[in-house]
Amino acid sequence: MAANDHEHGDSLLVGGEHRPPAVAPLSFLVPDPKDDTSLEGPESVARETEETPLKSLRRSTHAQVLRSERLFHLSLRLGGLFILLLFATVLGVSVVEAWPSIEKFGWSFLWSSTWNPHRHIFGAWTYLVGTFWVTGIALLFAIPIAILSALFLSDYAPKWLVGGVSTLMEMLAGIPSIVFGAFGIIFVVPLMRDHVEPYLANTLGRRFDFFAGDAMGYGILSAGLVVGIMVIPLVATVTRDSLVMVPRETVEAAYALGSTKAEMVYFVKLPAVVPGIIGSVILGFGRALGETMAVLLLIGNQASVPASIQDVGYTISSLLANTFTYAVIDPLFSAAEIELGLILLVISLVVNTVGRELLLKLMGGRLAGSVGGG
Amino acid sequence: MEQSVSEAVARKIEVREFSAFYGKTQALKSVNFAIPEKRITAMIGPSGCGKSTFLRSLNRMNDFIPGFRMEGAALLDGEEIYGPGVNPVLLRQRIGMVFQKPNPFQMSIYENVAYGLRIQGVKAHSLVSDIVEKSLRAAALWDEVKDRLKGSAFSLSGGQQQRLCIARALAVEPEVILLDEPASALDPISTARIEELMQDLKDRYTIAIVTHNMQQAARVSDYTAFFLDGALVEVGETTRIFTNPDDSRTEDYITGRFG
Amino acid sequence: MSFMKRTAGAVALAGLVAAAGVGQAGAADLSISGSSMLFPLEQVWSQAYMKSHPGTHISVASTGSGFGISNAANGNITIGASDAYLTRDLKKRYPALVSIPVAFEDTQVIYNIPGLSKGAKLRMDGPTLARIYMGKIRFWDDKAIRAINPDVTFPHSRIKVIHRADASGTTFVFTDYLAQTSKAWSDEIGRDLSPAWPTGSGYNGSDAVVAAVLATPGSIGYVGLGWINEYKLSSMALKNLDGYYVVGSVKTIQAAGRAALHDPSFPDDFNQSMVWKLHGKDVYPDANFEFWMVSTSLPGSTMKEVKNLIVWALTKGQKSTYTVKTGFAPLPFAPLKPRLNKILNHLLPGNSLDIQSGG
Repeated sequence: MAANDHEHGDSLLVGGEHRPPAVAPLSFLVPDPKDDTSLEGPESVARETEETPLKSLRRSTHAQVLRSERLFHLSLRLGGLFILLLFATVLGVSVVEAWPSIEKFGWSFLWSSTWNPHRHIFGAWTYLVGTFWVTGIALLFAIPIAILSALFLSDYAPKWLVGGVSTLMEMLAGIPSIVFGAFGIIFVVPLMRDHVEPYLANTLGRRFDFFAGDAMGYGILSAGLVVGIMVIPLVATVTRDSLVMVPRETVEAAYALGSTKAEMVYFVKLPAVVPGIIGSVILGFGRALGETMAVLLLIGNQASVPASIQDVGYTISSLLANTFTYAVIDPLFSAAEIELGLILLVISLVVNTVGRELLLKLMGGRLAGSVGGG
Repeated sequence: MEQSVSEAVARKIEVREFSAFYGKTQALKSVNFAIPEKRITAMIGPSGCGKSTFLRSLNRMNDFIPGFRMEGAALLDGEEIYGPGVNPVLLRQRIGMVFQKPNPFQMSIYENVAYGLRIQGVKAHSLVSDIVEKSLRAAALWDEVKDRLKGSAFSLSGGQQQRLCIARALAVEPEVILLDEPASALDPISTARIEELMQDLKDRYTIAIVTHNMQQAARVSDYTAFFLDGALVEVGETTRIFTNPDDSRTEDYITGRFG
Repeated sequence: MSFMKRTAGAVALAGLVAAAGVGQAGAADLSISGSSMLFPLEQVWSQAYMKSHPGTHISVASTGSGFGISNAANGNITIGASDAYLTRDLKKRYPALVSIPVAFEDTQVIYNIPGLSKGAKLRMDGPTLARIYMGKIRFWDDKAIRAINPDVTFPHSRIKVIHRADASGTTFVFTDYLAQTSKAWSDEIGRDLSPAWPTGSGYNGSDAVVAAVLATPGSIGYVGLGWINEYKLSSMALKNLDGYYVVGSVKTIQAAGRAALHDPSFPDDFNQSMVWKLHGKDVYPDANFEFWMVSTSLPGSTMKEVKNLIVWALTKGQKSTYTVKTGFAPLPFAPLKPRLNKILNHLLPGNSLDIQSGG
């Protein structure tokens, strides 16, 4: 049986009449063999004598192989080059456009908190602080919830629930941010204003000014929480994926040592997915950092450094969304706003780089183990 | 058919009319078998014969497999392993297990060995580090890792990782150690070290090993059990099983006529 | 993020350039872009105008006054819509721009004060309003507020200042009133489409301001006539130059407009605020012209179309079904005519226009 199968297979390869002519369109990839005859000499003569359709089509010279290889490499290189060029263009154009502001304010742009288009004085500090608070609140809120829900989905949820909840989670990640912003206005803001913020002010706020304030609903707390809600599905999905990837052997090892399920999850699974969690947090950080519409609707857009979690504030991206079309009227104004955009770019570059280094360091042991194993 | 081992040694584990099912598939058919104390018992047989199922039934690792169900009795020191009041978590502290693939945790070498102690609430630092050292020595790994206990367990070679897993199992001081093809993923040198190690350990532990490798079974074990199609065909002293088996199927298998 | 914004801007701009390009070929395509406040009026206008002028196509976009001014100046769009007149700075930067008033608007102060008796009529003057918006007056029962409103009992609740976050003509008109009545405001903040607000919280667009005021007990905010009418809001009577407290309405805004147009010292190019400076019992002190900005460098054929549109807008287009319905007060044509003639002649020199027949 087996031997017959083989023969049949071979006959398909050589049997000329089976070969469909459909390969013809590909022939542009394969240079005309006649081009290369000068390189070959006797071999080409030999080839012509036993010509079959396949042999006439398939490449047979080093140069032909090289050429198709080169074509492929070239297109890959062009793709890579495009990304590089795109990045360089974005960076270059931004630096050029931001130059009047960079030149005029220098480093003090970073820590000056005056932003007065009327007097042509610009400083980033209040917006940096606002961005920091919204991102920080969002991540502080999102990470624990995301990890807990990821653990629930990977280890505790009944099977019939997992699929539905996971799909829901992925859908949540795709909802436009304006919808979250609207949800924030109709639900989160009143909740904060009428319940959470008065409660905070009367409890923690009595001791720490950072929680005190005059309940208003709008502000860094609402903005941070809503951005947090947007970050949760991102972190949860990636974390769940890495939890599911923890080898069954590792889980069994934990059980075989007499772990309860909780101990297995907490001591073994969680440490194993730390790189995944860090990766997802970096993604979430980027999302929170750049989130514009939802923040703009909820933060109160006031250029002041928040002294309390109940205060209003301003983030870089919401400032740009609010005022950039107006800023174009004044070169220095628009330069200052573009410089703010540059700062965002640099922050996310730095965070991504640091995150990657951290990941490499954490994964280092595992990588070394898999390379040196045996 | 009542299978038995030499009457001189105590029966650490005993199963009676033990059957196991995965859903509708029967994986073990009325097995009667005893594992003697402080001896090495090997389980051999072709793939899918039920030897791994048998091993994993002893520390109730099969509980995690959806659809798993058992009938009959399994006893540890005469107590029902599947009894109504038995907590599998406590059972597994008495019956340790080492798996086919080395499976260290994503933590340091030291913390891997200390893991079992930590979850049992042992906090005293000096006690923990004493036991870690003792276990690593017992697993013949101490000299190789003593200078890098804080290093990642994944920085070890595969053979070292497997010995680390043995040390980790020893640290909780089990009475029985189940080895599920512990050397099948290792090179010959590492395999030899694991086999040596088993000889060192059998004075203190009851050891049950599942292996595909008949030479290994012949080299290391005191008793050998041959499984086929979910049934225990024959069990006895290893020398006898390999030289003069009662059952022709056993003979066919060990002489390489099938499997 | 700025790159995304810029890209979006560039895409929008490319569209507009294309529209303008087509316009030059067919001589009947006009693009209007800018003030979001004027946008609804421009929409009803453009539809009505295209119906009665089948050869002309008008595209309208709401992009903000700043965008309208700068893009009208560099020729990307035909007409830039702006809530603010050209200040000296802007006139210097864009010398070719000409401003044409097309409607009246105003800015009114709205509030949400818990426990205030129903039907209470609140009054406000510039200096007090400025101190509220500078964070210096922090409670509704402050004696400065009570002094203006002796008949009203105010609760001791925090004032929550609400302002626009985006660059807005409404804000320009509002801060104009503050700057002209309060030296402190003029010195420290000034008037601007997007000033450096010393306190409060900002919202994007007048709808959001209304929503925030309605949702925030103790708040104060400002919006134009259109929003007052649409949401049936009560607004504060503002003190005018002659000491009268006047509530903004079509009638009081028009009174302000007439006062401005009849004032011989009001400049011919309309580039002066009509906030505060006008006398009269009924004059609302915080009203403004809405403008179309046109560059003198437009090609002649386009300019003719623009002129026809302007004349139509200032005559037939002032019907209250267009203007009042979209939140504006109609311009009185007669007192406007002399200045307007000069401007149109400036746009199309040597081309004598009889705009009385208009449209």
